[in-house]
Amino acid sequence: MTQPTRPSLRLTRRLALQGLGAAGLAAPAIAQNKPIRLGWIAAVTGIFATNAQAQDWGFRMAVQDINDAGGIGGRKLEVVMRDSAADPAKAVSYAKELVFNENIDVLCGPINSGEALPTLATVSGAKKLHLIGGSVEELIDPVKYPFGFRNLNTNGQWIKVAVKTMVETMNHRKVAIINDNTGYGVLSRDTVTKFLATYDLKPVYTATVDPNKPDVTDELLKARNAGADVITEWSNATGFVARLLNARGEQAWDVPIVGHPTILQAQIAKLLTKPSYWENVLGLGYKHEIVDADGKLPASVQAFMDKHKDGIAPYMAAGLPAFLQGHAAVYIYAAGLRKAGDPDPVKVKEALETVGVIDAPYGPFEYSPTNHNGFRDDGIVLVEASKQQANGGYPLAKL
Amino acid sequence: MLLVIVSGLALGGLYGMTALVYNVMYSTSKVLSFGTGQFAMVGGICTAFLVLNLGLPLWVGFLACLVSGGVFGWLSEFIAVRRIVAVSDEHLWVLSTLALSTIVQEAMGLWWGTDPTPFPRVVTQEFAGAFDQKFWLPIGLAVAMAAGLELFYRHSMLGKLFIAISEDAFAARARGVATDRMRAISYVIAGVLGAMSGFAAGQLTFADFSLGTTLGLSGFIALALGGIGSSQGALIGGVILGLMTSFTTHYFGAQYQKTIAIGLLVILLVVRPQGLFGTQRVRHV
Repeated sequence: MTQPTRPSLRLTRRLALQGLGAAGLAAPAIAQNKPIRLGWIAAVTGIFATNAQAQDWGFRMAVQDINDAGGIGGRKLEVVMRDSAADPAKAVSYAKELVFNENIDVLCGPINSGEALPTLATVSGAKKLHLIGGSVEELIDPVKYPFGFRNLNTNGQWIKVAVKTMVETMNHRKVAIINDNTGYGVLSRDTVTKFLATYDLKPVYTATVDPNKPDVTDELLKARNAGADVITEWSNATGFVARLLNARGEQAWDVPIVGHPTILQAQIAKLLTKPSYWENVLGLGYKHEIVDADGKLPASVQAFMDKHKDGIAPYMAAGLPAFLQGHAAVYIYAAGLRKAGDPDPVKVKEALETVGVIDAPYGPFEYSPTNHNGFRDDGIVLVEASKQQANGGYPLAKL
Repeated sequence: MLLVIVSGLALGGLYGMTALVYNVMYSTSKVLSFGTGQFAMVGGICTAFLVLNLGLPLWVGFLACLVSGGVFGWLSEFIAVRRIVAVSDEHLWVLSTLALSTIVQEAMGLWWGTDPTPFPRVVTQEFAGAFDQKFWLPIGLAVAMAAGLELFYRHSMLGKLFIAISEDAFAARARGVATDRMRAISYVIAGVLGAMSGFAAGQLTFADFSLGTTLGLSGFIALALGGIGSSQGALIGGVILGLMTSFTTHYFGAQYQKTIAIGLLVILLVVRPQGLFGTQRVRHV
């Protein structure tokens, strides 16, 4: 993986190049003074508010950084934001408004799969570039939705890395799957089962549970009786995940739990009966969270955090991936726009498909005409929940 | 196996308490309020806020929990029931109680946040397996609540008035019973009991804005199982549902929990519509 570089410096270099006429043919189109309008749908209220507010902050900081550096091709970026409140109907309504009435150049968001799915046809039908912030596989299809690009990893990538690490690195063969009964939880369970089958393995126990069930002791006992030597959980409900960890701790069962990134949230630690219940818990994280031997984050991430250290505190609880994902939406679009030299969606689409690796602080993205997922598997790693440091990073897990 | 049973009993206790709260309101208004589960949610969040956020002693949190439940109970009657039952014989209270329940849940979500937050330990105790307070608190309180309500209905004037209204509200009014005031009092009592159940089960449920909906449904199933109007029926209905949930997971798998719980309800409604302990009303023609 190419080491990420500091975004602000690179911006300046590219702008300087554009200023010298390197952008050549496209320069007249981009040189207009009219701002480039970024439609942005994020559920900053409602059940995903904590994560969405952090993404929103990262998104706005990315725009601010670009505008402070003079914009792109002399044009400033302008954000037209709507709060979908985690309601798919509102998300669709706002997508229509932004695409048809607000004359945006690109739509970023919605930032969760349930809201993003019903907006695809509208945005693609209007031939607007669409940066999609959901992880469900079905969101991306270069044939059906040719203007849609994903600005994070897929859920399948998370699961692939989780299963590979459990089986190949940790050498576990008796896997129990515990997921919630949402569409996401059930889909994840099926995907884990599919990846386990590639190793000729079947889960020793599977439980699909109502995330509001007040006690999950019985599920844990059942997994234990089935002989599980590792549990993988798939839920983004913090209460459910905390109950699972409490039940494991109360049974004094030191089985490792590998799970969805929610398991890393500070909120989980607050809900645990004892801090020690967070030991032997591995969550899916990113390379951008891995600190070096001196405890320092990757250079591009550190540079972003240093630059915005005054406003970052309220968003640290959501974790680095949250605000860096919001940042990535702008970063990726900017990379395509710079190459295209023109906000015309067709030109930016072609630029993104051919620009090569985009080293966003969030991680490496590389699109092609047949692959609009972009995020590379090597950007995902497992980290130990209890090892989080003050700067939000983690040491590389010793497995 | 002991943990499976105790976990099921704790869940059953919580569901049973919710069913008892339904009963208290139903006795004076014939309304099965959709906001029943929200009393526990409000009580739990109120305690967590005062004890963990403001650092007040637990007993203050407990008292405030009861007061918040009582106030919410009274508001439920005043806003969603009083006018509705006065002007219409139709079941419009379904809509009004559902609307109020939704408003309260959304408001709590906006104020408190949507992530569950911790609930304080009630007594100083290291986790004690099947004998931990998070299990025995809801079990103990459910039994005490059912017994207390039985005594209340049998031996107090207020309780007898509730029964009189439940039997025939028109006759009770004709005999000088202030049925409107009694209904308001019953909702205050229901709110206090509901909030108390949220306190007792707080270590299982956490302080969570979304608790009310799930609890309301499970409590209703327990009520229908045991029989509307019966305190022991509500408690036993809750225990059956809680144990069924645990045993279903243990013997068949967690994915069958809801199917079996709802299936049980449907079967029972077909075979014995009045529930296990309910009495069939005779309609004179």
